[in-house]
Amino acid sequence: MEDTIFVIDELNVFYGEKHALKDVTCEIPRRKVTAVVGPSGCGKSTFLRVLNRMNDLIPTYRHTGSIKLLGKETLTMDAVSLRKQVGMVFQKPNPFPKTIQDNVTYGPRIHGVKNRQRLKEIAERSLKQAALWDEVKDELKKNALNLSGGQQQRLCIARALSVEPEVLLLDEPTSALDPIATQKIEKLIEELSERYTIIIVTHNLQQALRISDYLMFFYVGELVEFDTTEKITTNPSDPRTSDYLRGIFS
Amino acid sequence: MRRKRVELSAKVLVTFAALLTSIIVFGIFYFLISDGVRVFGRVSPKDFLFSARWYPTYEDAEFGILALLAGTLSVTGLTLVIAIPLGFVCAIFLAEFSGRKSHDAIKYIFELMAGIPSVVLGSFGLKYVSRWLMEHFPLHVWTGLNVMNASLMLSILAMPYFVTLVEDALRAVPRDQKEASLALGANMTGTIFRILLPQARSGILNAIILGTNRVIGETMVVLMVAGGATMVPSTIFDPVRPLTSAIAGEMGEVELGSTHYFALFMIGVVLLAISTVFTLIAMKLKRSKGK
Amino acid sequence: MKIDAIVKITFAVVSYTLIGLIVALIGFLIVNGLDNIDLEFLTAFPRNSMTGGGIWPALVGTVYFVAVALLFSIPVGILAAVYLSEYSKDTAFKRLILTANNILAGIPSVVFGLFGLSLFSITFGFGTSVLAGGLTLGIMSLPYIISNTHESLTAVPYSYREASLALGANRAETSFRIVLPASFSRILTGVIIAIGRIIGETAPVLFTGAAFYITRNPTGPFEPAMALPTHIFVLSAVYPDNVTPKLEGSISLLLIIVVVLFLLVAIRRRKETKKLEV
Repeated sequence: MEDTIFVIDELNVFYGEKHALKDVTCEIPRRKVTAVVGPSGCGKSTFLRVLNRMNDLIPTYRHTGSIKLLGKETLTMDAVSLRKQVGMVFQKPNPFPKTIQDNVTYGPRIHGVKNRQRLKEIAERSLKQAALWDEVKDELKKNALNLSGGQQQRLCIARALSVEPEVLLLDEPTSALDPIATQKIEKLIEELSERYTIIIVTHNLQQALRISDYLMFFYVGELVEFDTTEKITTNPSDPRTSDYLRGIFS
Repeated sequence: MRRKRVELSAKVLVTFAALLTSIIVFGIFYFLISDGVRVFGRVSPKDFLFSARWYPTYEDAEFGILALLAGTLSVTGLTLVIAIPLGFVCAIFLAEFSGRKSHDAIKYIFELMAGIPSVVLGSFGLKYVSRWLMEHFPLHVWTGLNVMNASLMLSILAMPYFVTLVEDALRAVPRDQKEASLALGANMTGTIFRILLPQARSGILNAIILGTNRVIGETMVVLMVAGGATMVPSTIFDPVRPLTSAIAGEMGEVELGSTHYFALFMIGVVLLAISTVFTLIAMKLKRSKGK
Repeated sequence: MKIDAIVKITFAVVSYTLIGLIVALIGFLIVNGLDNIDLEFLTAFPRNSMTGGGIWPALVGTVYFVAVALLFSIPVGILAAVYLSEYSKDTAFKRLILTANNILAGIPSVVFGLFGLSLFSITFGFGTSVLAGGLTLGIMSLPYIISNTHESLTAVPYSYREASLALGANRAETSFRIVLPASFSRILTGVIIAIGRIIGETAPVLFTGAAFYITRNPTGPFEPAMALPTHIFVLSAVYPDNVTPKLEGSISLLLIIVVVLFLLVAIRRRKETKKLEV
């Protein structure tokens, strides 16, 4: 079993003239929680969206460098099969306006699973993994939009898990949720890190410290520091990192 | 790689469907022009456009559309005179003065108004309005089927367009403009006429162009109530024969491939050209407003 | 303050008078013909030079014309709208299609009639038939369907597309399995509006598909049919006054259908705005 999931080498990202990410080089450990932090506009969301090539949809976007997922180059591979391995959960819960069941079987079905029994099993497994099964098992045919915000977000996590990805990208997944729903998601992230690599962008530093094993600190498009969370919080090596940490703690 | 194949065929399919719209427009131009120009084998373009003598069924047939054009212009002009002011009043009322509940109800009536089939209005004008005109204006009216009758009926069709489009134009003016004016102590009336209407002018112009286009192209009403006389009208109570009604009224009896048949297609080309120019102007206005 | 009150009252009086007149007109035309609508009127063929019997073949014909029109315009219109909203970038090709669609929407109905006659009836050899008339109406309703569907698709939140693509769906799967179903209700409203518009259209079918009078309903798409609006035209403009009861009944019925369709649209729209507000 390899210990590294992504090997990123000299990654540069541009939107038109804007140089959004500069020479990012790093290795992201497998089956750990890596939190990506930094002041807004620092490129942390851009970085996340390069990993599953969601940025490809932006007309002025281009990139150079290399990102290898378990040894395979992702920047040139088919985006569809990349996204099957690298799932994503967004800032605002965005379940499809379909039933709960249809939400978690949509992914498997587009990837060719037809057997209804098998789809049912997948639905149950993903909902269980997302700690939502007990709350919705009797109302799988109900419209997902009737769920609460926190439930919707866990459904979105279940939906991402339904295609059995290697990696789960979370883009500020709790910013639209109340504290109790946030707590549930944080607990869930911890559980999920046993089987999945989790990379989470958050503007909430305390959250990052609570849940992450590794911390990436971005500042105006540069990866300033990347180490274990413990090392960075106790002994940051770059003054910009300590400024950022102090600014939050004070 | 079945998925890839499906994806590709979906792309081809939707692109083709979109392209089909353009092909249809092209086809309409092609079919109308290719039949229409054949009239010029018998009639010169100059006579066709500038002669007022439209006698297609005479032994010595003549095909000048000037009188028909005058019919279209007179009916359209009078309709605009009736419908634009009324449409403005209603649009301003809807946009600035009406409460939400009454707004929705009025809006529904206007939508319904635009949905009244023109043949129904034609029939109403034919049976009732013509009699009413004869009774109330006996000195001027020698036929109840005339420019006035057609314009009244067309106003019913045209007004909802003005109301909807002008209201949209008024609502598109940024709220802070209105608030700034009111905050300076201007009253609502002054604000509407000095701030809102001038700011909405390209939208209003757009509404007038699209509404006019609608009126010019309307067929059944003018076929049934404009009177059908091939003459250049001198009063609003004269009967006329607008372009659309000439086509609809004569196409049924015409011999395929005759000069008359081609002449009717050429009238179609004229109508097509008018509506295309109007549409392009409206699009241009909208685009320059968007910038 | 005073002038505002005067203007407001004047504008309100004008608007409500106008609305009142329109409601009265529609109400009068519906009520006026209501007495003439009975079972025989709805189910019998016309008799005695249209003075007796009913309008059954005109009803059947209208359904046929509208059905053929929608069979053409719904699939083509929805696919074209999917192209515009999901596939196209801001290119000259997209502008060409939008321009074509606007031009199409502005063309007078009688010009569609000429085109239908020239292309479907003569060039394709469909003659005066349900198919030729229906397709002509279909082309006429195409721009409504495209514009409305395009608008409905654009209103679908971008996050649905994002979620679908992030699961590894391609553009086709995202468009047809997520975006289209999510806007289904609004697209349907647009289709109802289109039906309301074409059901009363007379000029396009006048010389492509409509018969003045038939003694049996069409058995295939290549036969002509009667239609309610053309029937109204024929009764009011061609026949003498002794058909008036049948004419009034036909007008009443057509208006009832139109009012119901528009009411349906209004109710559906209200539900949609309510849903957005929740």
